[in-house]
Amino acid sequence: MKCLECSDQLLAYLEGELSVDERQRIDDHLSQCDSCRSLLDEISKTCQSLDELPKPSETMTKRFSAALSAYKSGQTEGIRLLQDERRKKSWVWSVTRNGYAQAAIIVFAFLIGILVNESTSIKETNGNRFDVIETELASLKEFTALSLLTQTSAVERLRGLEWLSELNIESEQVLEALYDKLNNDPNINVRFAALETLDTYAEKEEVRRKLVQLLETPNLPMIRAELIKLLVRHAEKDSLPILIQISQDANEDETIRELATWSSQVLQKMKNDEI
Amino acid sequence: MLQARNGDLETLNVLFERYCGMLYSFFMKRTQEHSLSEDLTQEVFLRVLRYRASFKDDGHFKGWLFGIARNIQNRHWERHYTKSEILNEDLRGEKAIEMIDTRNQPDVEACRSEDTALLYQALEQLSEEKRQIVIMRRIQNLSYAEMARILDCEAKLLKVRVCRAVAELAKHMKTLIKERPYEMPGMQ
Repeated sequence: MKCLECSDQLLAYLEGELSVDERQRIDDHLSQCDSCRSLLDEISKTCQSLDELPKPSETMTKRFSAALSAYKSGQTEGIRLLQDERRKKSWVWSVTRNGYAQAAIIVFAFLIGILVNESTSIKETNGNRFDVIETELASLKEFTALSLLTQTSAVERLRGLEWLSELNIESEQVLEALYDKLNNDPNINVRFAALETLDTYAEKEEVRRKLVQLLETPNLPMIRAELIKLLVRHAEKDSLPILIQISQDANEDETIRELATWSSQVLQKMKNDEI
Repeated sequence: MLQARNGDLETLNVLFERYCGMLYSFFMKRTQEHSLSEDLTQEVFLRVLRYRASFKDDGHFKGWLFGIARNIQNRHWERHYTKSEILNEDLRGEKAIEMIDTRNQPDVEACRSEDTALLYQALEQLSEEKRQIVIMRRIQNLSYAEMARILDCEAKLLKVRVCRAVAELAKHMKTLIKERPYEMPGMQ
């Protein structure tokens, strides 16, 4: 046997992947070749080092597969709703479906015009009027974003969420709408986007408290996983009891149980460090 | 990936099997945290799923995928850590900014030895193809039959390719250890 043939089989030799005859041939060659013995030693040490590296868990592929299935279910539901919508032929319905958004944009543009016009005229004496207009604009933005959230098209609901993220409007109505989208929207993308938007509000204690409550309500596993991660990112130690409960619930999804176990350990450690 | 973009989402499962190991190792090298690396790997593929329409016809999938991975890693660091930036040496012409985690992470698993860092560095010196098959065989512990299915090639050929890749990895490790400015106790 030549060195090239031997060297290409050394890993299989170490791993026990060779037949008895093949193994014997390698043994015979190694007994006479220092170079191949040295290479075998290097490969063996490198394999030992690789074996000591942390490994991705076997459930990683299953978790992604579950997420993909959930996504496809959400898509199917969204398409079904869109198809139901298209069957309605009433002109009144087609006007009102976008009527709120269209009307809001017209008024918004009108108020923008007023604002621009005012800013080029006498400024000092119009301070109060600026405040009034700004307040009205803020209300209008909120109205438009909330209106988009009620649209039957998932794309428009996503647009509404994107707008809310950028505007960072803090009102009770907006927050309630976001919680509703997170829990009840038929489209998984919209739920993810609602959670991302809520993440931007999660500096507020009342928002985090509500999110902890929402963890107790049923939702898709991937959404629950993201919700748990959000609470850990914001170090929300009040979520500890519910996380411990989830980690011990035999009926809970296995991935969620593992994540809840890890999360509760992280938060418990943070809590202990504070004491 | 083109099939996934055009609606066949099941192909994403195949892509996940093919690249999750590489992504996991990519994040492990940079975060040293097992659970976080798994989470970030999932996040990469969720973004691939959500933004698949943006993948171009003439696009290079691995480049696109690892671009998303770097983006996610940077966003994660920006959100969670106070930064101490050290400009790392060029790796194939790319400057990597290495962030130091100044917050105590309770879920850190074994992975802070210098040899481990050298091993990850040696892995990144392999070509993408060689790195992928070493990770699949020796880190993910996939059988040659499974690898053959995922990579669509013969198991017999894979055994030779993995062996050559591990031999090359061993050479890189040897070089990196020699170039180290000091000797650790017990090292040859």
